[in-house]
Amino acid sequence: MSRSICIIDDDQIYQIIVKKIIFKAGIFEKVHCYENGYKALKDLRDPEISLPHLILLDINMPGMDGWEFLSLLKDHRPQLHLETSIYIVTSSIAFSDRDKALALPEVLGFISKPLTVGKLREIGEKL
Amino acid sequence: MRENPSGFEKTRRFLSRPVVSGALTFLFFLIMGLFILWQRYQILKEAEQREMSNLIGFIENNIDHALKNSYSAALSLALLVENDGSVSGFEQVAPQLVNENMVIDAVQMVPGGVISKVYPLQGNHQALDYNILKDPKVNEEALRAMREKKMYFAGPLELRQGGLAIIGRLPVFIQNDFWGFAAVIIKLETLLEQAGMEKLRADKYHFQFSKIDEKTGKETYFLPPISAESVEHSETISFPDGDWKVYIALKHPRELLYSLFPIGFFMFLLAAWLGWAMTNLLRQPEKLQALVKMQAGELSLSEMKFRTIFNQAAIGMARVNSITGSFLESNLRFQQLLGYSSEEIAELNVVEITHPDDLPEDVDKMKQLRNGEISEFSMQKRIKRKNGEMIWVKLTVSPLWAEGETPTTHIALLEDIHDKKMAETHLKESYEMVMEQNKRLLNFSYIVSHNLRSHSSNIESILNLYEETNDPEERDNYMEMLEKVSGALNQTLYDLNEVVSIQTNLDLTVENLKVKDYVEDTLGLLKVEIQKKQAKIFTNVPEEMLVKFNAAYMESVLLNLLTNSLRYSDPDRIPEIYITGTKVRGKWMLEVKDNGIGIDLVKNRDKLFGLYKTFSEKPNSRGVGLFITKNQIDAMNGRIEVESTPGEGSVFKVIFQ
Repeated sequence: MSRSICIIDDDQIYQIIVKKIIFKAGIFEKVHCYENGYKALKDLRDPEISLPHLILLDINMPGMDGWEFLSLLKDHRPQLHLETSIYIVTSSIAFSDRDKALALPEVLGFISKPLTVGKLREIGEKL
Repeated sequence: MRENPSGFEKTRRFLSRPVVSGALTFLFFLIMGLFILWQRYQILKEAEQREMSNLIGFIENNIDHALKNSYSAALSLALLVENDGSVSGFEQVAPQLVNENMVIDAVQMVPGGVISKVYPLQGNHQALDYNILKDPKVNEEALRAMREKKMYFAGPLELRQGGLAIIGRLPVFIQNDFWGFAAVIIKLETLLEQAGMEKLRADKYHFQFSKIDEKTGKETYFLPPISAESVEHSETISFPDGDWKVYIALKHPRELLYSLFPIGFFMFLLAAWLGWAMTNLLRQPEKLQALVKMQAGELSLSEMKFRTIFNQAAIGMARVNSITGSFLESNLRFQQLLGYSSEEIAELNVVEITHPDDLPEDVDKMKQLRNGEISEFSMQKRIKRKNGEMIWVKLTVSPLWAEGETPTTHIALLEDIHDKKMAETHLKESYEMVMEQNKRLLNFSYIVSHNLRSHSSNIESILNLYEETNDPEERDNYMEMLEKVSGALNQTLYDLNEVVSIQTNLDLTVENLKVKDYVEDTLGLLKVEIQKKQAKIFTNVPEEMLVKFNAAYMESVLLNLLTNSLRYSDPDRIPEIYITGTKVRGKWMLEVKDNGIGIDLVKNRDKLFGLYKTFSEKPNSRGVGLFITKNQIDAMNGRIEVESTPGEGSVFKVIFQ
């Protein structure tokens, strides 16, 4: 079964890096990248399509940030936490962000950048 | 010249003295009591006298009765004398007579003065053959009966046979010739008993029985003598048949008088008490007057104390009309606080000296006080001094009417808390400023850490990937990426430096800037972009628009606002930018209005001026410009506001200090 992953982050360089890491980890066949919440929401809100297995979401993004994206997606998909696994991946190390993220039921984890192959494999095993 | 009081006046004053009035009252009641006692004494005395008269009448009747019976008995004896001088039937009649008449002790027949027959013989036989006419001691009375030819009672005299007795002798005549006597002997003891003297109140009365000698007029007494005092209160009766006199006299004539003594004493006490009561009653007004005088003294003392406290108090005090709010009375401190004189304050009312912003609360609380909802209140408010200065005071209001009464006046206490209040305000401002700076600092540190970390994490990742590959092409690729990250890091550091420089630059030169010149300069700088976008610029900034601002900041603010307007223009419209300078409420305002894409302020108002907050998908928006602009305007004590409708355009307004 081919596993799919989705990256939502505005940092262009990070996107290139993360693709390399996904390739190296070798768990996911399909990779989608969005540079902000708007674009991701546009694609993912349709309840007809199935969500990727894993979503790596950044918090600080122009236009629509990670929090806003999450709450809007949940409006469209009330069963969000059953449909996919969401991890917050951010350069923030603030406790407030961490606590806020882990308090959300659909968020499975909070990862401070940099993301490594090892961390990704760890997550992949839990899927 | 002093007027001497008249005699009448003197008397009147003397009589009005309580002691004199009391004494007069005492005398009046004493005299009245004695008079009543006297009357009573007279009545009692009369009653006594009457009783004695009755008694003596009764005795008289009894004695008369006894004498009449004796007379009848003597007559019965006389009828026994026959015409020939002989006596027949004495032996039959005599016992009958003696037995029937209690009073008669013995009967005698005395023919020719010689006692020839006597009954009862026993005890009397010594009298037999005794010639009474021949005995000069007793013949006097016998001769008198012969002479007057009627019965005469002789004695009381000592009988030959012993004992005191009365002898009633009825002379008997046969054809006018003296025969002798028919005699009845009554023992005095028996007579007195018959008269009822012993039975009648022997405890209360003295009795006396006397005989008056016919010739000498000498009175002989036969009972124990009565005291002279008793004789004065006595009644007498005379019996001519024996020349006797019977006396009745009180045993204790003063008893009556003595019996009235307790009542007299009681009356004396009553009069004395009434006199004393009268004295006290009349003294009452005097006492009350003294009490009133004393209390008036105390009152004036406490009034003086109150005055001193009121005038010298370190707190402003005023008595205020609770309805009109006018000042009725104020102390020195109150006048000092307001800067008005006492006379000027009297012309003012509460509303005139109260800061308009504090008035509603004051009025509301006064209303509650008048309605009895609260019993007093205090509040902090600003009052206007005579020189126009507003000072903070603590006002405490206490009503001067009792609960349930109609509101009249109240006491207002003013305490100067201006310095305290000012210090409080400054402290609050400082606190807010520190909090704001702290918040900014936290935000800033968050941003710094986030932005620097995003680069460092990228570098770390790239270096990791670089290490793990041996492909030279890929390695070159990673080096290019590192260069990009390095550039981005540089930009971030530059931005942060700029932000830090605004926030730390505390002493910037501020000068009067002609805004019109700066707008034109900035438009000159943006000439290329304006031409590229074919934007239309409408400038309306008056020549006289001069604002106090830092020159570099002014350039930065104008460049940022105009760049934004050009950058976020709607691609479907020709951009139009209006730059207008106006004076609003004494302050200059610069308005930059565009018809660009606009911002959704409902979502983004709080993020608009934040660092690294971007709202468009334009690749070159970094979220620094408006943050810096706001910080620069804040540093110049100005204000920036925004109005915007998505799809229609935005208006940024800079209000200068």
